[in-house]
Amino acid sequence: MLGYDDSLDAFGVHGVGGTIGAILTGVFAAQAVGGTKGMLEGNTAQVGVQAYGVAVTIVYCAIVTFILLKIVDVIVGLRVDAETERDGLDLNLHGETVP
Amino acid sequence: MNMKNLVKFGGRFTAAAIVLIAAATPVLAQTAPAAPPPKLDSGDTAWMLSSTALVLLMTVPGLALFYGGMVRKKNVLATAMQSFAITCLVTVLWAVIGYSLAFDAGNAVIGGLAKLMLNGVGKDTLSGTIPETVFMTFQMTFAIITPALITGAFADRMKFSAMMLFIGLWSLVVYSPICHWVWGGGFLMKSGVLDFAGGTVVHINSGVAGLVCALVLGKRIGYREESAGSASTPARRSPQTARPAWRWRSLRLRRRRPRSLGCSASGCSSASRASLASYPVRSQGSSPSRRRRASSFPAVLSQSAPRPASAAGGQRPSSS
Repeated sequence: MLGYDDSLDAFGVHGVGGTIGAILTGVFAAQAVGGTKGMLEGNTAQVGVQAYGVAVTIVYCAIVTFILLKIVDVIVGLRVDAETERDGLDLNLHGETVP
Repeated sequence: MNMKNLVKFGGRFTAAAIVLIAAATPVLAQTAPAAPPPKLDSGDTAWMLSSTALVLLMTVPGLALFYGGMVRKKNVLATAMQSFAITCLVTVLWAVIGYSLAFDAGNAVIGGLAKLMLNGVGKDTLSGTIPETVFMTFQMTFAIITPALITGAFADRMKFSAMMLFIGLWSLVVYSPICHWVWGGGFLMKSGVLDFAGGTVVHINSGVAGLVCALVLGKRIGYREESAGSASTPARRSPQTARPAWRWRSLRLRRRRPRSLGCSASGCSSASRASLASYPVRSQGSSPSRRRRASSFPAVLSQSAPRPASAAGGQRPSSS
């Protein structure tokens, strides 16, 4: 739907799951377990703190990953050529196939 | 009476569980060490060693088989190999500099270089109630699985060499700083951000990096046009990739701490060397030369007999 091809859904599973989990940590945190109260124990601010952590991580990770990919693209090139991709990486990169 | 016993037992069980969880919490890197000087705790250490083994299992063979099983048959080995190669690469990087960048005191943004090459991490140094060597190895397993998770985003189309270079850089430039921010005493930890098992450090990090990778690399050829269904046969060779890694780890568990650490790191570095040595030198030449090289490998001999370069472009070994 969004038009990106994330082959094995790394973003859908980990990006979305991680974001929801990290924010909900602020809701369900329990003083008896982690030493910090969450929203359910009256500490509403913790949700904001979690959201702040999530935002910082997303922004830093996205920007620096993009820069690194561009650097690697210049040095060795990111993608295999079209023929290699059609034939499969096993044969062309590793000289072996699954029987 | 039975009911009463049951309630009593339940109460005891709950109490025991709470005590267990509370005991395990200080070693989760999130909580600050308690006021009295921490003492080595054999139970905590044993549990952390088990956890270390479990998290490592998530990458090899777990993730290798999981991702390998989801791609088409022609890419199974390459995908499984990515997880294995990352395990080798990040183990070495983590011991050399990654751990220092993440967990040395440093400043609020990045750790210092005082623990470069595990300087000062000896058999007597503690991290909370566990030896620092165990803590470092436990954290290493997270440093391994995070980049390995990204490989799912660019499966089927990224160069192996580009992947290794990218992951090596990413591990040091993205993972270590964020790990320092959240777990190593950086500014996010100081502002009270909680992360018990990697919601931000591991999952958001790998997920967002994966999204950026998918966007930058572009779609696979034939995306949405041809079936991208997984190999329906189990990836028979993948377990072999996991076995050597496990041998080093079980060595580590069997031997004493300081020595074991060396085993783990040297095992991975020798595996990296072996992988590099056996990595076929890739010519930049035309595809026929590449095909000739490929068909000289025994595994493909049965499928594609060597043939003149002129005819090579016409037929291809079936591989999808």
